[in-house]
Amino acid sequence: MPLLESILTLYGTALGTASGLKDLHDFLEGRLQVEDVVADLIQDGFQRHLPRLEHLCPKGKPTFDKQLFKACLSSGNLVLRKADDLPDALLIPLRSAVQTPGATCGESEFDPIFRSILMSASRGLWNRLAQAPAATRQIELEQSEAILKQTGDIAAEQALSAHELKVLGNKLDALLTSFAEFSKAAWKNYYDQLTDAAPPSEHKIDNTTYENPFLLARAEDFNHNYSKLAKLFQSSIEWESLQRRTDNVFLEGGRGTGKSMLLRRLTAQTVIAANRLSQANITFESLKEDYFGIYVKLTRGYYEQFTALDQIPQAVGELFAQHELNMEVADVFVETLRWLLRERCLPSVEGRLPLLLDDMNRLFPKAPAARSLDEFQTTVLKFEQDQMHSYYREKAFGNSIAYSGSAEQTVTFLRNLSRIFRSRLFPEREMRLFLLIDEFETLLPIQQKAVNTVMKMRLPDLTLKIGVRKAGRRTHDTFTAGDPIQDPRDYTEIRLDYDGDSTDYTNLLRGIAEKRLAVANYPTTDIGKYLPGQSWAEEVKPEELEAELDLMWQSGKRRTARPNHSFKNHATAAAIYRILAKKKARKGFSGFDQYALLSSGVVSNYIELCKYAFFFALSDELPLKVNPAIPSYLQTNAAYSVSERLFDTIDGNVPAIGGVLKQLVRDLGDMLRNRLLNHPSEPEANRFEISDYSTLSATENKEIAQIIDGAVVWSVLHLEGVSQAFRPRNTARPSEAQLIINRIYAPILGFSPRSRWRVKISVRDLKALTQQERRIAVYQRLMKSIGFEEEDSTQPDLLTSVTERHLPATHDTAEELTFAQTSEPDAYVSYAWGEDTTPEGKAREEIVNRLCDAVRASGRSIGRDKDRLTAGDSIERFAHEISKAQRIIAVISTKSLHSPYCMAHELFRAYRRCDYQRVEFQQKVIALVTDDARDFFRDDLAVVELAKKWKEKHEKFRAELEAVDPTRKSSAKWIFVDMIEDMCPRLPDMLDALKDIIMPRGFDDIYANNFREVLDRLSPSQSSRTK
Amino acid sequence: MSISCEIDQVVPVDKSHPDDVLIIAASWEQRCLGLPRKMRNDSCRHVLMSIYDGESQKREQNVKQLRELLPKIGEVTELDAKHGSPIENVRKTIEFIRNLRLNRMPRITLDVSSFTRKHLLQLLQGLELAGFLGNCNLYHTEALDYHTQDNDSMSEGVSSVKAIETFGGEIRPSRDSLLILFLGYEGRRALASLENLEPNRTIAVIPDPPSRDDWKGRAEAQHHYLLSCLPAGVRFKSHALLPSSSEELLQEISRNPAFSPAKYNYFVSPMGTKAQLVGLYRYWRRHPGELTVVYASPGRYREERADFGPGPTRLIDQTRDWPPLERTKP
Repeated sequence: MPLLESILTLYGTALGTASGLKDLHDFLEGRLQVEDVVADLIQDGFQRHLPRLEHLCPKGKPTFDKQLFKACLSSGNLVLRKADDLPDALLIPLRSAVQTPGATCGESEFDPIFRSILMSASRGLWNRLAQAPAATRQIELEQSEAILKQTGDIAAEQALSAHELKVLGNKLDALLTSFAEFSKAAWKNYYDQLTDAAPPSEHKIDNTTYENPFLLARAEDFNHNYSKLAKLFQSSIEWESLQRRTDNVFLEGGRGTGKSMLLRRLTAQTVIAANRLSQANITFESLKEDYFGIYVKLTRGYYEQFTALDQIPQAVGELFAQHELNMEVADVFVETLRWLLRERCLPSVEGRLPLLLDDMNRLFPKAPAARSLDEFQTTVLKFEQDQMHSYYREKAFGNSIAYSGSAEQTVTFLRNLSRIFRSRLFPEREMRLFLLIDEFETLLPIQQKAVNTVMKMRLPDLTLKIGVRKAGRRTHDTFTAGDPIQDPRDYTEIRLDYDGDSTDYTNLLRGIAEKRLAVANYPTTDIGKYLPGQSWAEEVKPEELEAELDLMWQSGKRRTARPNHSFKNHATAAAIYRILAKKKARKGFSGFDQYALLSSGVVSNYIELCKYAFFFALSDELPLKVNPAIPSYLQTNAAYSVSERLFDTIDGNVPAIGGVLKQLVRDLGDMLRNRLLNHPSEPEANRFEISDYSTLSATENKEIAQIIDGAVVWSVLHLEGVSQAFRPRNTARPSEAQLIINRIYAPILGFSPRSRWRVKISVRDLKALTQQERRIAVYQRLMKSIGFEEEDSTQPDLLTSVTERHLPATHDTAEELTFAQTSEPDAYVSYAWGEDTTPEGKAREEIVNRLCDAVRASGRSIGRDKDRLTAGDSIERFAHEISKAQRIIAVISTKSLHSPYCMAHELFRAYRRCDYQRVEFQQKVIALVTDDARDFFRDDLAVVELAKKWKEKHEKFRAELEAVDPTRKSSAKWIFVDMIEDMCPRLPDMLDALKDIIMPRGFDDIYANNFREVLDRLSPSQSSRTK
Repeated sequence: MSISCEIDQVVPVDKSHPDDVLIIAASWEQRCLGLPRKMRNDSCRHVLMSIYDGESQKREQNVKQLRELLPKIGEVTELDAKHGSPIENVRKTIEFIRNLRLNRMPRITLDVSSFTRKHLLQLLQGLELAGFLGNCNLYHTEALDYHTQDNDSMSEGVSSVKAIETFGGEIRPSRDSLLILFLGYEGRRALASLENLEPNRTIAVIPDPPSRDDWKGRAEAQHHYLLSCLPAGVRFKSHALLPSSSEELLQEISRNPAFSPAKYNYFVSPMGTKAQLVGLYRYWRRHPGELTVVYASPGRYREERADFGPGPTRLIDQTRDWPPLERTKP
């Protein structure tokens, strides 16, 4: 069976019917030569895997005969049972078409390589099949010979004329859409399977092991592997100042900026490990470094328990909180010593160990004395923690208990510890104890105050180096009233706010990659070789670009007819986005520079991008050690994958405000996306200028201030134009500032990561976007001003999820993906239906018939029971589908007001999905009232009367159901009863909301203007929305 | 204890005597009505109904129904409970039982269904420390179903991720951290625990077998992203309805040299079933200090999704089967 037939048979099997497959076959056969497509894809793959093939043919050069492959394919019999069978089915033709002169192994040795090639080619084919129908839809929309000529991609070249497309009719259209979905699913399934679990640490390709150099993304991943940390550590401009022995430092940065790595690099273990890379047995005494770092990673959310119980006096709670910190410091101090002694790095200390132990025991005098460092951790610290926790537990429940531990203030404890350090570790050398505290923001104010006090005291042997997130310092106070710590007298602050465009930052990223690649034994250590960029010419054709630039130029008020050179330079990137958007293709993100830009100054974002790019490439068995270039489609897939993952976790990541912040970023992203696609001269504008930034300090803006501060702390938004004195949480704020959306979200939200131009937004508007009742109105307004949406177009669907709106689609030679339309109609119609032969019933049916015709004639699709339900479908399920729709046209009649389907399943569910928000519900529903129900909406009492009737109906139903099913076994019925119970008291409000938005009332009015008002209120059709 | 079948009628702890106390929580979930509907008249001497704070129409409706149902079962005392800090409610509960001045272990029926996780853990702990948990039957009524078909969780947002007071374990920064995530239908909250703690290693525990056969795979679907962050080989299973299964799993993990408590600070995030939570408590009581229980408080519960009524009620555990600790000996 030829390839196309095999694929369509597979599709038919999945669909459960062969109906229409012949039409589909005829349509595709004339326009998409699948044999040619797959042969091209295999040829690309063959080139990428050539180094592996050549390795097996040392005396000759392997070749691929494309024509022969196609001939084999045409003459062969392919049988596919599932999409995954395609690579195996193509194996025999590929074997026949590849010549391997000078091979030193048997034929079967080539099969793993062939499979890699076929796997990639198969995905590419599914991808191409997924986009062909989308392209034809686009042409259908544009219906222009000129556009047909301009659109140069494969699908367009093979597309039908507008006239032919119309003839094809809706049936084929639906089939094409469904087939595209099927093909897309086959493509996506591969990546879904890949990302089902975390990337493995290594891959086996032929007989070579490929480690993923970017697998260790977080500092936590290095725990106890000091040698690896030392090898992979990349020095930066902060490193030198951080090492200054007497400077107390607050190392401040957002998540993923590398604070922990810097602190861990200062630990005594890593210092010795780094020195031993060049000098095997060096001991601590002979190091040039004059500091001894001990690293305490604090535990998030752990310390609040000490002051949370009202049964424990505040002073006791605060003392215990300090004691907990003391124990953690003691633990890492002892652990560091144990490690260094075990590694024979502290020979001089071995003799002083008993004295050292005595001193340490004295720090916790109530605990049984330990006889070894080991025992100190397992006995002394355990005793102290047991004492404290037992006390807490008993007290919490009102039981009496005496505390028998050695709780001490942190200031005293650290002073004593630094003395022990001086006298027992390095009595004859100028050495400082570096106390490296990470996650400082997790400490209670009293604990921070204690640390501040130690900082202020400037102990002769102790220096504090503290990692803290932005806005993580809760107090500057010390225990001496009126004497807070001051910069630079008591400490210096190092901020890890990297400018994503700066050379320092890109050098840092290159250095990080270089070390990782070297340690993972990759011969090429230049990351640029692995991440080659993509020129715009690979994404769009020159003539397309010219045409689009002309369009952009003409859309603005210009003095000349054609765009000038400067305009072209500035507008090219936006023009590419626009061309791709029209094709429903996604923008590619490849190349080191793109990755650096997307990482948005956050090192961990960059490592994550590289990790997935390597993961996808190694999963495709690309021999990166021989041919390092990762194809741009895989880089792009990695960018979208990481972008989606990180965006998706905002609500889980950012405590308290995550959900609303995610929505805010999505809304702002929509505006930027719209601007990118519409603005004639300043399209790339990821820079929100807030001219009334100082008003965030006002009491009424407390919530939005919390959201913006949280977003900055968690690097969801970057704050620019604000000096150090005005950081989040400071009560005084500067008059203006700029916010940039973390660029890593650009791929999934569809805006350009570049911040070439600014847009203005006010605190008031930002606040409104976070308020349910005001959000839609403000969103619509901002979409017009910032988003530059045309006056006559309406907002994109707010409730459509981001992944639906910005579905990923690559635009690349091998794997391009565009997504076909979803099958969801532009609107649904809700009306009372059934076998009704009364004059009112017929009139109602007539209204709905004409309404649907009018909607369809306007180029939109409409969901109606008769069209969407087939025998066996559940009416209730359809009603549920309506309730979830973006737009509902409700034809309200006397019958519908009493219909459980219309009122409860459709309208009330929709109302509930809007969280009973009047405005949101009104945005969703378009209400038409038939003659027989006209009077109802004029009488408030009638509304209440109706609610009463529903209540009576509910009570009767409930009582009778209770009688037969007291234990609620009939769950479906009970769900309905409970829903009606919920609905009755809300019915007056719901109907009142509808009353406000009623369209021309009455049968005649509705006909009169052929539903013009309805059509005006509907969004543009889904297919035209991306135009 | 084997898996209990669905019960039609709740039997007192000692069949020939009424229970001393029925402890129940009134929440917005309709399943809090499940157990009282299955109790005989006068089967308890006292009923302690804890009512949570915050506005909730659904809870008010349920409280109204409970006020009709419970007086038939025993003498009702209502106690306030705070979502954020339930410990005061636990103290009052203990005080109430103490004031009964029984000279034997009290017979308690405890409906675990509607207590928040934090509250239930502290209630079990408080009762045990007071010496009242030796003769207690634990019942659970599951919801008929959950709105999880679209993989949305039962709660929205995360207000904070913190160690539960009285369940803080020993922290040694010198050890790595190991997070054990019991996964249920609270996608974001489990993920928040992972993202906030940034542990060195993570173990995911899936409720499998699930409470109902047709729920198989739901937890995995809801936690698809979270699971995709974890390497292969760290997914474990424990029975959704059997506390001993979770206790045994924790035992197994701690005995595994790869996850030894000597090497790791254990953190447990109990977002799974209530039976798994009881299993966690059973492990904790024998190894206090070994682990820290962290709780991701929801931004809000999605009450609008509480369409479903109470499903089957089961006896999930009996504390008389638990090995006695020094303090629980009567």
